[in-house]
This record gives sequence, C-alpha cells and structure tokens, in this order.
Amino acid sequence: MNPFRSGIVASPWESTVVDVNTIHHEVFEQCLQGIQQVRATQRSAGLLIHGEAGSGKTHLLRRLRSHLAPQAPSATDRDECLYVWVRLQTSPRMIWRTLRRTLVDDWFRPVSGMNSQFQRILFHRFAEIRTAEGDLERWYDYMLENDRPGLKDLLDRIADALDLDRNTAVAFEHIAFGRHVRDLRAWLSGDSLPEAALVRMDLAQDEGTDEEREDQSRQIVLMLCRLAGNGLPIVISFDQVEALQMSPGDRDALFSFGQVTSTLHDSTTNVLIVSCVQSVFVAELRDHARRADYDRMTSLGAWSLDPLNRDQALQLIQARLSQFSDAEMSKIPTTAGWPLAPAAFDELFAKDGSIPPRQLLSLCAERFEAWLKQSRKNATSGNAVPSDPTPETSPTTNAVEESPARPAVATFFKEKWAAAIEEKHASSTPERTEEIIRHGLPMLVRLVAAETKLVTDDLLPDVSLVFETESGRTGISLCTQANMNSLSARLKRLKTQFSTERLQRLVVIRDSRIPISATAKKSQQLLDELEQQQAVVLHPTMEVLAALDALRDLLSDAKSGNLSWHGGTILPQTLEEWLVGNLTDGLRDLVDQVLGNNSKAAGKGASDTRDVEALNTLLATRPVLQLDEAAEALNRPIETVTSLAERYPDQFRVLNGPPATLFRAEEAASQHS
Amino acid sequence: MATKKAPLLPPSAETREALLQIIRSSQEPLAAKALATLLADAHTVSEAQLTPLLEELATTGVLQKYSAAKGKPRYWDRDLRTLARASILQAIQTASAPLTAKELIGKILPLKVSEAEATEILQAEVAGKSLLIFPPAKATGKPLYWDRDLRTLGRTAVLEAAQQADEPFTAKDLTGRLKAPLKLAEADVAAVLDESVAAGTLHPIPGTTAKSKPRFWTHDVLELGCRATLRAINTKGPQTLANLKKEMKGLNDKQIQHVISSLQAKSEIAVHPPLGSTKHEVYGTRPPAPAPYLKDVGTQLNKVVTLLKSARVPVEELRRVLVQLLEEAGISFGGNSVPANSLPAVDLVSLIKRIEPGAERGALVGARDLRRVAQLAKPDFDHAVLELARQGQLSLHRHDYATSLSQVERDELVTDGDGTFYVGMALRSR
Repeated sequence: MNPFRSGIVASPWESTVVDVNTIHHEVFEQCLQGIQQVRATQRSAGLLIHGEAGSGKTHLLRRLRSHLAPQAPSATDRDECLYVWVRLQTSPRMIWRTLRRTLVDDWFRPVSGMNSQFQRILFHRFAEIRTAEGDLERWYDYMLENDRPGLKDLLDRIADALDLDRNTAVAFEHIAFGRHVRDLRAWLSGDSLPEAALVRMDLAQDEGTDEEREDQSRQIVLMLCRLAGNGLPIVISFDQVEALQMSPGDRDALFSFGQVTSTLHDSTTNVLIVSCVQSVFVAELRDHARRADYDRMTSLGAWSLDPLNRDQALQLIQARLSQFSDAEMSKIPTTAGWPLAPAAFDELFAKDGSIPPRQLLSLCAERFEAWLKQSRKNATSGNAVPSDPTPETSPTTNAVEESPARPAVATFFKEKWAAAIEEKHASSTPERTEEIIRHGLPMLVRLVAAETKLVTDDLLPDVSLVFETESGRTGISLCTQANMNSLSARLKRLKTQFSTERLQRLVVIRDSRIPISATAKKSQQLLDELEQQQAVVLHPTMEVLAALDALRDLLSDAKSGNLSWHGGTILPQTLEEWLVGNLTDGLRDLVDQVLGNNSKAAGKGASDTRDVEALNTLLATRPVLQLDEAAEALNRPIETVTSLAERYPDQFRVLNGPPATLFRAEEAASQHS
Repeated sequence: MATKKAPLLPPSAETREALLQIIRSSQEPLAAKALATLLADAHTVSEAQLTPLLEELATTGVLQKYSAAKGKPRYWDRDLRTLARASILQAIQTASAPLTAKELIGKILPLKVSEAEATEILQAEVAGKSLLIFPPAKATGKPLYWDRDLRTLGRTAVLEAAQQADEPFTAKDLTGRLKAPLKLAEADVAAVLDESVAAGTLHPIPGTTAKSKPRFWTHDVLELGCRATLRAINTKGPQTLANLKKEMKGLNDKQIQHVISSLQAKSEIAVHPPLGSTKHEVYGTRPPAPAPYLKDVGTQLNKVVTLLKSARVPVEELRRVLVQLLEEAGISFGGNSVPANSLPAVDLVSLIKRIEPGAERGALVGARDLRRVAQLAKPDFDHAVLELARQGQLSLHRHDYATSLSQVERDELVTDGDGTFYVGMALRSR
C-alpha cells in the first residue's frame, strides 16, 4: 500500500482517512465560528475560501462535513447542523435546479450510518413541540408503530406553525411516515413524474417554462431551508465554481452565481454559504459578480488556504506514514521528510517557502513507489532495504511537463476518459439527461465547431440552448419529461415559439428511456406537428450521453484545478486539445446532427419518430420480445419493424431466429460489457 | 317496435335518509351521478331517479344547488360561498405577504373553490374595504390581496435598504434591492427617499452626469469624494488632480478642493511634486519616493566627484564637504544609518493591510493590485515579495497556467524568474 497515493479528495462525503488538523486549522475554525454566528444571530452569512489548485479545498470541506456529522442520536440539548455539497458542474441557468437536486440527495443520505438529514429535521421539529420526555428517536419509533394519528396531528401542527404550503406539508408527512420514498425523492428533486405517481402521493407538479422551473426550484430550496429552521443551521458549500463558465471569461455564469448566493443570504435565516474557488479565479469572481452579491458571498470574509510550510509538510508526511503498523514502520527509514531525501525536501522550500499539499503527496507517492520496488527487489536478492530509492528529479514547477521517465500524459488522458465514460454509463439516469446536455453540449460544440457561438434568446423560453453559425440559429429543446401532461404543454409552447421564425432550425431532444406513453395521443400529435414544421427529433443513446457526461466532468475538473497528473495541474487547454483528437464517433455525430452538418439526421428523422417512440414505449415494458409480437403490438408489418431496427442500430437490435427477437441496443451493450 | 320505458320510481325514504347522510359527511358539493355511485352499495338507485329528489331538496332549502357553466349541478347542505369566504379570510390573516386568488385556493384545501369563485369573494371584500388589492408584479400576473397596508411596510423596507447601502444609490437601484413583500414602484421609493432627505436622515448626492437621476446616501457628498479619491489612488497609484476630479463625478470644484484639503490634513494623501516632463502635481497615499527626484543631482554629483578625484582632492575631504552640504539641506546624520539590507524601503505587509482590509483575516491580495500601490521596479517588487514568502510572512499562490496569459498580464504577476508565476499572496502571520 502506498500511503501517499490518495492525493485528491473527490467529495466531502468520502470517509476521512488521514487528516492533520493543524493544517488550515484557522480557516476550519472560521467555518465553525460562521455556523455559530448564523445560529446566534439567525441571519445567513457567506464565506469565501480560496487556494491554488491542490491546496486542499475539498479536503477542508470533508473535514467540516465530518465534524458536523451527528455523533449520537438526536436530542434537544445538542447543537446540530445540516450539510450540503454542491459541485457546480452545471449550466449557469440551472444553478437552482442543481442546488435543489443536490440538497435533496444529501438530505436523504444516511449520515454516519444513522438517520438521514431529513429525519433529523423531523426530530428537531418534533423536539420543539412534543410534550413527552425521554429519547427522541425511540419516542418516534413508538409513535410510528402505536399512535400514527397522534403523529399526524403533530405534523399538522408543525405545518401550520411554519405556514408550509400544501405540497411541502404533504411531502413532510410522507417523510415522517416513510411513504413513497423513491417517488418523493424524485418529486423533491424536481424530476418530472408520471401523473399516476403524483396522484399516489397527492402532490402537484407544475413544470412550466425553463425560467419558471428554475424559479420553482428556488422556492423549494428556500422552503426546505425554512423547514429546517433556525435551530438547525445549514452549511451549503459550493465547490468548483469555475466549472460554471461555459467559455473562458464567461461573465454571465459568475453573475448568476452571485445572484444565487445573494438570494440564499437574504431570503434565509439559517444558512452558512461556503464558496470555494481557485486563487487565480478570485479577481475574476470579484470583478464579474455584482458588488453587492460579492459582499454577501464574503460577509464573513475571504480566507486563504495557504500552501504548506516546512513544518506542515513534515506533519503531513508523518501522518500518512502513521497508517502503517509498527512492524511495517520498523522497515521505513526514520529521516525527517522521508521518502524524500533531505536535500530534495529542503529544495521544495528554497524558492518561496511553501508547497501545495497535492504536489507534496504526489512527489512522496512517486518516491515511495520507487523505494517499495527497490525493497522487493532487494528482498528477493537478499540485500539490505534501501533508505533512498533513486536519485530524484527537482520538483520545481507545478504545471505539467512531460518527463521521459513518466508515462505520457496522453496515456493518462486515455485511461481517465475510458474510466469516466464507464462510470457515467453505470450511473446514467434519464433525470440527468437535461443537465448533461445543457452543460456538456456547449463544451462539445466549442471543441468540434469552434466558430459556433452560444447565444441566448429570452423570447424562446422553452429552447434551452441556441447555437449561432453562419447559416443561422439552431435551438435545442430538452423534452424529457416523464409526465405526459407536462410534455404536451412544453411541445405546445415550443410549436408556437418555433413559428416565430427566430430559429432556422429546431432540435428536440428526447430520452428513449422515457418514451411517450400509448395513451399520450396529444403529445405524439404535437411532436408530429413539430416535425412537419421541419423540427428534428433526436434520441441520444446512453453511450453518447455517458461520453458527454464524462467530457463535461473532466473539463470541469480541469477548469477548477482538480485534474492532476503527477502532482501538477492539467490545464483545460491541454485536455481540450487531447479531446479534439479522441472524441467518440457518437459525440461527433451528435454535433453533426444538432447543427445539421450532415444528412443523417434529416434523412431518417421525420417519418420515423412516431415509430421509434412507439417501439421504445413497447420495449420499456417488455425489454426483450419476439419480432412478430412487436409488429403486432405496433400494428406494423414485420418488415417495417425490422427495417426500423436496422436504421437505428444504436437503439434497437434484432437477433435472427427462429424466433427472431427484438431488444434494446442498451440491453445488448450492458450484457456485452 | 321500440319498447316503452317504465316510469322511474322515486327513491325510498330509507334511500333519502342515506342520501342526506352522505351529503352531510361530504367535504364538498357532489353531483347526482357521484351520489348515486356512493349509494350503490346498499341502495340500487340511478342518477335519473336521484335528480328529482335532489331538485326537491334544493327547492325546499334543505340543500344548496351549485350550477356550473360546464357539467351538471352539484348539491351540498352547506353554503359553499360562506365557508370559502371564512377560510380565505383566515388564510389572508396568516399570510406573510399578499397572495393571488389561485394561491389562496391552495391554502384552503381540501375545500375546493374555483379561481373565479374565489376572485368574486375577494373582490366583494375589497369593495367592502376589509381587504386591499394590489397590482401584480408582472404585466401577465394576477392581482394580489392582503389585509395589511403595504405603504407602511414598503417605507420600512426602503429605509432599511438605504441604511445598508455602502455606496450612493438611485431610487431605481434601491427598488431592485427591496425585501418588501410586494414590488414597490420606483416613484413610491423616490417619494420615501425625498422625505428622508427632508428629515435629514439621508443626504442628496448629485447624479454622475447631468442627465443621471439624483442619488441618495447615508453619508454626504464630501465623504463620497474622500472614498472615491482613496479608492482611485489605491487601485491605480498616484493620480493628478484632473484624474481625481473624474473620479468625483457630481462634485463641484469647491467641494473637490474641500475633499483634497481634508484628506491632506488627515495625512491620508500626500502631494507629489512634478517630476521630469510631467508638469502637474500628483496625489498619492504615501509621500513620494525620493530617488527619482534626486536622479539628476546624483548624475551631476558623480561627474563632479570624478573630476575632483582626478584633481587629487582627498576622499575624506570630499566626504566632509558632502555631509556638510546634506546637513545644510536638512538631512541629519546623527540618527540611524540606512541598513545594508537590499530590500526596498517599502513596507509591503502594511501596504497589503491597507489595500485589502480583509488581509489580516486571510484574504488574497492580487499581485497586480499590490504592485501598483508599491510603486517599485518589477525586479525589486518580485524580489521583495519572494523574500517575505521565504521568511514565512506571506504565502504565495501560484498561477497554474500563466503561459496562457499575454505578456502584459504575465508581467503583472510575481515571478521567480524560473518559470513559476504567482497570482497573489496572503499574510501568514495573521
């Protein structure tokens, strides 16, 4: 085991392995004091943390999250907090929706193997009004089992006291009784739900235009903060703010972020907003956010995460080595700063007296690896264990430079890209499709068709992205609603907007995992009518969505200094250059289809959409079925269905029989992998 | 031949009783068809049989009949309008802001009332002056209703926002920042601000141009001038009076003179005499660096000293005369001598604290900002900053992709001359 290998903390929700509390102790204390101030004054506040790439921003958030995790069952006399971590890998026009989804995900997450944060809110609210004494959680279990009407009365009292709107009150009740958890979570996250699920939960959903949905998410977030109450402060930490920028120097993204923090600051009474950015980005944030917004973002100050000085570096190395047992430690040289040689260690501080933690860990990891290799070699040959592995190269710069001794950065990119696609494929859900397309597609288009501009048009509220080229404007509308009424309403509005001729081309993006149901005649009719108006309907495959998700993830990491190779930070431009030459065919096709650069989309789109939707609907309920059954269900000749499957190999596959069998291409891909 | 239908029998007394019981326990008016379905378990009775009975009960006043433009009439034993009115008024009393009819319907569930019915009730209350109506925030929005006077609430919100403003604002600026429950018009906000000026709680501040709208602030125009002057010097370095005047838009010459004099009196700014080809004085936050002023004297002194040395004038004699000259010029040699330290005589740490008030709490100071204020040559500045970092007084923050910057942008960063660039610094000993 190499104790220096885990140099990057990907998420504050990761469990803590080694932490040196004295490093960045002051900033950590400021966060705790910030929480105390929010609790005492009942006013929300903001704190900005900045440091260079690899300085430990997410590591500090993990320490904070871990510190705030409940150490014992809920009780009335114990100060507790809620925690939310928002990685801003999203479109600037979807920040509230991303915050809402993340907040709900984090609050449904069991903390420290105990209750979820939503349940802790419930306990705190009960603690304020219940008359019984004794252990709160045991009392709750008793009420749940023996006195459900009594519990319902208490919930009604809480809802009345907080002036909760009807939907929130009903949702809160479902949480208390543990009902419809999956659908409830989706509803709270803002996912489109089928009518039947809404009826089952007795909740309403009004999706509206893009702007209205963003506004609804804002209201839900503020309502959930109110639900938590002043007794339960919430830490909302924003990480990777840089990733919001759709292009270098994008001012709108930072302006939007400023507005979000300002609203949170002014419209809540119990939130500590912790924003994390790279030092190099601070001036840009200050210049592009509105002054008043920046002041709120930093109402408790801006704090620097300093690189490590000599003493802190020694402490970190020692802490990492302390993971070894005594027996293992006895084999390790006791020189201070080992596995770095004393001279090499001193050289790290000669220039400016400090080194970023990630760079130090990476250097140590390489040296340790070399020592381990040498030790094994010596053990087999019977020689003594070496104290210093091999002569070291001078670690003078932080930026990545290729070294003949190291594998090429291209190899690193290739492995990272493949792993990211695989991970995104495994975690792909249709609810994320909109965010992936809206955040990832502009990045992809910038790589493949750099001359294309991303513009906005407020008169097209249902068109999420507008690309402008010499030949005109192309609008992209995400129509991935599971609720057929909402889908129908959106398509209707879209039809009107497309008629205004503000676009030369309209692309409607659907997710084949959410087909139009057989009874949703209106939606199908509107989609047909849009196609008659020359709109193009696309169904990106899961492979394409996973690749696009991986692309935005890697580029966001690079922009925020989180893509590291041998301790150095990989520049976004370096990654972009590699991606241009290594994009999958699916991604290139997607850009061509979106911008209308080939006849592929136009050739097979217009007359097929209805059949594609129908076949997807059928396969959603019966993923594998005989071809003749499919033909009968669709009321089409077998040849038509076969031909359709052949024209859309990325969606459907036919296995020649007998009997000939039809199934989803995704099923085939997953079984193959 | 078509068979003749048998006449419908009226429902039995028992069915009639069961029907009334269902209606009394219902939470809303129900149509005949729904009532027939609810009766179906114990009493087989059709919608057609029930309708005459329901009509009779409605005529005799036992039930209320609710007709709708679409659909069939519904029946109930209670007066829906009275119940709805009471619930709506209760919801309004507990509301923390004005609400639309639709929002109020959501608050009185499970009682079901159409938006039109709710609007009718609300308008009646407005006519009776028990409620107030407010125009919608957007042109396409619906009117809002509340039982409280927004003028008083609006006034409080305006004054609170005015107190929190850290720079002058127009009525329009403040309108956008208000936390009042309903959006106030700019004219309403302007009226409150004018009242405050008359009462002396706010100061009028002229607009930045002749056409700009008047501004307001908790501080007067002289304080505005002082802050603008210091901000300009701190961010751009020493400035001429003409440049400072541009920063103090809206102030007349007399006021500008007053600002400059008061800052000089408080030693917050110092005059720098004209230098070289520049014919104007400039103002800085520190006294001028003497070296550029003495450059010509130094050149001439070098020439003369070289000449005298070649004429075999003893060095001791030269030193004695030069010291005498310097002392006559007011430079005393009785105190401490200049340290041999190679660092420039600029206290960068103090300067950092001055340009970034949050620096002592850990805020980053941009290399560009500090460089402008320090007024040192680039190599001296970079050297001084790196030295402070090595001493542990500062932590330097690297710029990871300085190669992507232009040469001008790179020159503003601190560099070690070995390929590493720093974007800014933070105080370590805080």
